[in-house]
Amino acid sequence: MKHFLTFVLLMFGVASTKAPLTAQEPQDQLLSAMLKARKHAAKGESKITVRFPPRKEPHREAKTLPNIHIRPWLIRKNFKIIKTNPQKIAGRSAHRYELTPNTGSAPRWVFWIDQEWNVPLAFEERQPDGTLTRSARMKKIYKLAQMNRKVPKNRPSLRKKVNKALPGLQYPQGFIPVGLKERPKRGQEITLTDGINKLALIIASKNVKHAPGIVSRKIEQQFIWLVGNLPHKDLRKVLKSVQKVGNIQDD
Amino acid sequence: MNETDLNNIFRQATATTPADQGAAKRFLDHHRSRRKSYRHRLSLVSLILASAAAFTGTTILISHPNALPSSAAYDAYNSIQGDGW
Repeated sequence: MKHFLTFVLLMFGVASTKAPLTAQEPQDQLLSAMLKARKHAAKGESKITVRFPPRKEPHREAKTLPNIHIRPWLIRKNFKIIKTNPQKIAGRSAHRYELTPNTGSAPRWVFWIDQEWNVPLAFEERQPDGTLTRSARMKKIYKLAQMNRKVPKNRPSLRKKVNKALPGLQYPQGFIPVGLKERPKRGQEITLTDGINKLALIIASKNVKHAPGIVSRKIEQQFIWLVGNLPHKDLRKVLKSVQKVGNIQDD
Repeated sequence: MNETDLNNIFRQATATTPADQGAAKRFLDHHRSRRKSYRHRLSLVSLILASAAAFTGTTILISHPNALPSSAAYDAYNSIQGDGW
């Protein structure tokens, strides 16, 4: 009897640790890795490339991958996640996940997740036509290190406040406001996200020079700018929907 | 035919007749008119180009009076992308 109970407990223990992992959907697997990445990261040598916004030198090297602020519930809502064949990253086996927006023209992402450590080893952002926007990839991996990375706060009441200050505002498909900060010289910056991609909506007293990914509009005495990796027609549509610009009253 | 006859023929050939004067006048009139038309077209094209340049310049100035550089917008965008980029 004693041996039988031990066997049952052992099997239960094995089942509770192993079964959920195998039964998980690709999105659960990926999001669990993204959440783990807030506290752990592969350390070694990485190569980071940023094509948008344009930089003088798009490549740089670092010891870890950048910290991506994600909103898991928005990713579940806005993206289709599929798992493809495993690949090797810096000599380690990695699951490969593709994130494609359900609607709209937002960028898509690919993540490579270490099969043993369950943390990202590489990721990249691409425009719908396949053009690379940014990427980060481990070139050499020495160890799994503990990290203390910033975790974005949830601001459930922010949308109501933004809508009140900017009546008529129509967000790009899947995007909602999640962050607000005051600008150093008057004005406010609102962060919009669809879970992983971000846009900066800025209220300012001055205009800004137009460039790729930047649109602006004057409304009464204020200017609003929208900056992000979306087609200009989509960015302009957002600004066009704004009827009035007021100050966002934050707590 | 002696030398005098030949001289007479040359004199007649080189003498300007009213028909020659008419032809020369028609040629000169046509030539002057073409040059005038060319100058007119050239000044019109210059005027159009100058106007286009002035319009573009004015449009840029009006749309971006005291506009901040695009790096101001990109800095705001970069600041929300997470650390380490």
